[in-house]
Amino acid sequence: MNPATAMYIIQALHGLAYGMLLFLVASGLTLIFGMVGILNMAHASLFMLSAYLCYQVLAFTNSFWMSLFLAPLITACLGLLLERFFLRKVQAHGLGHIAELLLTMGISMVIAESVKSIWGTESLVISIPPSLDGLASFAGIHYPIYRLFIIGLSFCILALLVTVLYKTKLGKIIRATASDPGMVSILGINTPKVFAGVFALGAWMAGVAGVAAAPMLTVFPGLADQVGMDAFVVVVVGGLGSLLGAFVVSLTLGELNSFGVQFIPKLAPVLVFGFMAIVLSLKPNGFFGEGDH
Amino acid sequence: MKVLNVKGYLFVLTLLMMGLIFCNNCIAFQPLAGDIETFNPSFQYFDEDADDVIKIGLLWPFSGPAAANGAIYWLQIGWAVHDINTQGGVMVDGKQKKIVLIKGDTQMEPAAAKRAAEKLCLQDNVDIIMGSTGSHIAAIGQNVAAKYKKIFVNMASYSDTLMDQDKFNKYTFRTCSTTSMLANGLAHFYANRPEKDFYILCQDYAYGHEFAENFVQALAQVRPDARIVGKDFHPLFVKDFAPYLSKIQGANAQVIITADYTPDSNNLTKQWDQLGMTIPLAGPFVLNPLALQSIGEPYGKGFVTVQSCLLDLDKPGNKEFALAWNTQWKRWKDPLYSTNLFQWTGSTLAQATIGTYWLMHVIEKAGELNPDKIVATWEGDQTIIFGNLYSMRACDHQAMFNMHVSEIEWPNDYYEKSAGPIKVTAIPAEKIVPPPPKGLKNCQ
Amino acid sequence: MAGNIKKLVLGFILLGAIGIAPRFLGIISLNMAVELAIGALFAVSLNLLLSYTGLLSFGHALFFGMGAYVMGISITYMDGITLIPAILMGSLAAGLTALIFTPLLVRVTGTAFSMLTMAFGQLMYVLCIKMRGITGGEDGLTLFDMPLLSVPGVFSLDMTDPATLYYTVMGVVLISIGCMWYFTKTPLGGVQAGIRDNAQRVEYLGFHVSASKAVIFIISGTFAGLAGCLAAIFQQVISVDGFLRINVSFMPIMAIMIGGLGHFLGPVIGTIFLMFLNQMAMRYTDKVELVFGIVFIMVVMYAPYGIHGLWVKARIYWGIFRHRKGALGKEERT
Repeated sequence: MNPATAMYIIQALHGLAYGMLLFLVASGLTLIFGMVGILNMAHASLFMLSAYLCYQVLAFTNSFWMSLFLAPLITACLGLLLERFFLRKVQAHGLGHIAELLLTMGISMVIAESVKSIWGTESLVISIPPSLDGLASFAGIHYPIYRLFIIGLSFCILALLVTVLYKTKLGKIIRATASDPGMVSILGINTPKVFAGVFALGAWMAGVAGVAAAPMLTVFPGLADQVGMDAFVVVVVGGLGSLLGAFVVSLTLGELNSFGVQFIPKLAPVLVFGFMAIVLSLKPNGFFGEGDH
Repeated sequence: MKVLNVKGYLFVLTLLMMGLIFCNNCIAFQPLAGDIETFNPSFQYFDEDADDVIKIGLLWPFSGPAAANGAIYWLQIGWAVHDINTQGGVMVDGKQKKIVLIKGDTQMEPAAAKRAAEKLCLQDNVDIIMGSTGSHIAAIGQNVAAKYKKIFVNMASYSDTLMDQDKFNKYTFRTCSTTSMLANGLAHFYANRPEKDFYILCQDYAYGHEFAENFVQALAQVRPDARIVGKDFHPLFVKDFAPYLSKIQGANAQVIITADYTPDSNNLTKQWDQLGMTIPLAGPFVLNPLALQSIGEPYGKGFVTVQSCLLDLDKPGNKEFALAWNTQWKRWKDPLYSTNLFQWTGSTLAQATIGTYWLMHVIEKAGELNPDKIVATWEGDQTIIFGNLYSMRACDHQAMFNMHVSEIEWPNDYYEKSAGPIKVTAIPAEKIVPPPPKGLKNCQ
Repeated sequence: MAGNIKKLVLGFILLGAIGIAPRFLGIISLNMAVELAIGALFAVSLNLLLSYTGLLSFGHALFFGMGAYVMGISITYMDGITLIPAILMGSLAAGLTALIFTPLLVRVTGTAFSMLTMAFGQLMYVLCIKMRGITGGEDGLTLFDMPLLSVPGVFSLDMTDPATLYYTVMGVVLISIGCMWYFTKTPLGGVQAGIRDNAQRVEYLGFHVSASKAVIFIISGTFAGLAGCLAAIFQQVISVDGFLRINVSFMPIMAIMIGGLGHFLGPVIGTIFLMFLNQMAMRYTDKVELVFGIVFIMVVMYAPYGIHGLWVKARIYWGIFRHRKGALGKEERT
C-alpha cells in the first residue's frame, strides 16, 4: 500500500480509538442528563476512580479481565449510592442546575482527594495485558491490538445500549420516563428506581471506559479533568441527552484530533473549543439537542 | 620534661592530621555526613517558633491538583535540611543554627501564591524563600520577596525570562538550570553522534517553544549537517499522542526531541511503546521510572536524558548519595513517596537538594543571615558538591554548572530492574550557559 | 421605616470599620481584605446576571481576564500611560466583548447559555496561551513597574503601597457594587426579575426581553472586567492561570451558591466564607480540596439557599420559638 494512504488509515484508526473511548465516557454523561436532567460533574471522577480500581484489582488478581469485570461494577454501585443518598435529595430542593452542579463538583473533589490519599499523587504503572499487547498487521499496516480492542469493546457496548434502549420493554420504560416521568409513574412504574438504574448504567459505562483507558493513558489524579473536559464538550455539542449526538461528536472530535495533528498542527490547541464555540453559536442546543431542559 | 611520650605525640599528630582532612574547606557540615537514617519525608516536623534558627519558607503547591509537585520538593529539600540539622546545623553569627522549613502553599494559583509569600515574609518572618514551580508563580514569589528584602532562591522554574530586565532583582538567585541550558546541553551531546535527523515535539507553551528554538540554534552551530525533519507543538495535557507519533514515523526521523514533562511525557512514552516505535525519545523528562516500567522491557533503552544533575557513579560521593537515598526510600511507606519514581535520586530529584546544600555553604561563608551580606557572598561564589562545580554568575544570579546527558541503558548492574543513565557525559558549563540577558545594569 | 434606619446605621458602622481598618490590620490582613473585595465585586457582577435574569455564565473569567489583559497590555506597550485610562480601557474592553457576544447569547437560555459561555471562556484561555507574543503566554505579563494612579496636578497614588491600594480598591468596589444595586432598583432592573420568572409575559407587557438581557449582560461583563483590572493591579502578574482558567469562572458561582441564591449581597457573604474556609483548611490540613468538597456537599444538602437561607430560617424558627414561649407564658398565667 502507498505509505501516504497507510498513514491516513492509521490516523483514522487513532481517531476512532480515542473517539470511541470518549464516547464511552460521554454516553453515560448524556444518558444521565437526558433522564435525570443532571449535569454530573463527578462523572469523569468515576471514570478516573475506575482506572485506579483497575490498578488495585490487577494488583490483587493479576488479571485484566477480572478488573474489567469488577471495577465498573464497583463504580456502578457507587453511582447508585450517589444517586440515592445525594442527588435525589438535592433534586427535591428544586433549585435546578446550579445546586446539582455544586453538589457533583463537591463529590468530584472528594473522590479526587480520596484517590490521592489512597494511591498517592504519582502516575501508576499499568501495562497492557500480554494477550492484547503487540501490533496487528494487515495489508502492510501495523496497528496496536489494544487500540483495536478498545474500538471493538466500545462498539459492543454501543450495540448493547441500543438494543436495550430500543428493542426491549425496559428500554421503552426508560425512554418514556425520560420524556414524561409523571405520566409513567401514574402507570404504576417506580420512576425513582428507573432513574437510579440509569444513573448506575451511566456510572458503569464510565467504569468500563476507565478500565479500558488505564493501560493506554496515564493514570494520575488529573486524569478526570483531562478526559472530563473532552467528554463535556462532546455531550454539549452533541446535544444534551442525545445518545446519537454523543456518538457522532465523539467520532468527529477523535478524527478532528488525528487529522488536525496531521494537517493543521498549529491550530490543534484551539480546535476543540473553537469547534464547540462555532457549533453552539449556530445551534445553541447542540447538533441533536431537543430544546431546553 | 617528659610530658609527651612517643605514643602520645603520635596520637596528637594523628588528631591534627584528621582535623586537617575534615576541615579542608573549613565548613561545619558535609553532605551525607549527618544521621540520614532517621530521615522520613512524611514525618518532618519543625518548631516554627524556636529561637536561633534559620527559617526557610517553601513556596510550592502543597494542596490542590498540583500537590504532587510540592511533595517532590518537600522531600528533596527536607533531605538536605535533615542531613545538615543532624550534623548540628549551620554556623551563623558564631552559633550553630538549625534549619526550620515552613510551607507556603501556592495551590498553583497566583492569588494564593501571593498570599502565601506575604505570610512567609511578614508573619513567619522567614530568612529565605525557596520556590517555585510555574514561572508565573515564581515571578510573584521573587517580587514579593524582594519587597520585604528576603532572599528568593528559584530552584524549580526554568523560564529564561525570569531573570531578564523586567523581572530580575538583586535578592533573587536561580540554582536550577534554564530552559536554554537544557536545550543547549542536549544539542551539544548530538555533536559527535551518528544521528542527524531530528523531529521536535514540544508543548505549545512558552517553555516548549523556548526549548525548541534553543535546541535548533545550538544544533546548527555544533552540527551543521543535522536536519530538523519536523516540528510539532502540542497542547498541554494531550490524552492521545498516537496521531503525532504516526506522523513522526512517516517523517523518517532518527530522534524525537521532546521537552515534555509529566503527565504529557508519561503519556508520550506509553503510547510510543504501544505503537511499537523504535525512534528514541530525547529530552529532560524522558527518564521517568513509572512511565518506563509501564512500557516493560527494554524499559526505554536508548532514550537520551539531559539534566543538570544526573549522578555520574564514577565521581566521588555520587554512588554514596544514590545508595543512601535508595536505602532510605525502601523505608518510606507513605504512598506519596513509596512509588518507584522516588527509588533513585539524580535527575530532577537531586536538583533542589544540591541547591539547598549550596545555599547553606554560602550562608556559612557569609557568617550571618543579613540578606545583603548573603547576596554579596553568593555573587561569584564557587562551591563543589558531589564532584560538580557550581558557580553563581554575579551579574544576573544564574547558577552555572555542567549539564549532564546520558543514554538510558538496560540491563545494567546498577539500577535494580530499571533502566538508568550509566555513561554520563558532562557538557561543560561554558558551552551551554546562555549569555547574561541584555539590559541588566551589572551585566554590561 | 425603623428597619431602614437600622440598615443605614449598620451601613455607616460598616463603612467606618472599613475606613479605620488599616490602623489595626497588618499587611497580610489588608491584602486579604483587598483580595476579598475584588472577589466580591466579581461575584456580585456574576450574580447580577444570575439572580436577575436566571442566566448562569460558566465563562465569566472571559471578562475578568479581558479587563486584566487589556489593562496590562496597555501599560506594557503604551509609554507613560497612567493607571486610570488603563483601567477604563480594561473595563470598557470587557464590556465591548460582552457587546460582541450579545447577539449570540441573548437568544439562548438555561444550560445552553452556560455551555456557550464556557466554550468562549475556554477558547479565550487557549488563545491567550497561543498569542504569547502579546500576552506573555503562561509566564504572563508582569506589572512590577506599576504606574501611578494619578490625575496630573490633582492627586497621585502609589498602588504598591498596601494601605493606598486597600483604600482605592475598597472605594472602587463599594461604588461599583452600589451602582449595580442602584441598577436593580431602576425600572429596567425590575424588568429583569420578570424575565427570569416569565419571559413571555414580560414580552407581552411590551418590554424587549432580548434588549434588556443584553443590557444587563454588558453591565455584568464591564464590572467583571473592572474586577479583573483591580486583581491585576493587586497581583502585578497577569497570567492565564490566574485570570482565565475555568476555576476562575467557578469561584464566583460557588460564592453565590454559598452566600445564598437570589440575594443581592449573597455573593459577598459567600466570598468571605470561602476565603475563611480556605485559610482554616490550609492551617490544619493539606487536603484543602477535601474540605471544600465536603462543605459544598453539605451546603447543597442541608442549606440549599446558602448562608442567607440559613439566616432566614433561623429567624423564622426564632420567631416561632418566641411566639410559642409567649403562648406558653399566657397559658401558665391563666
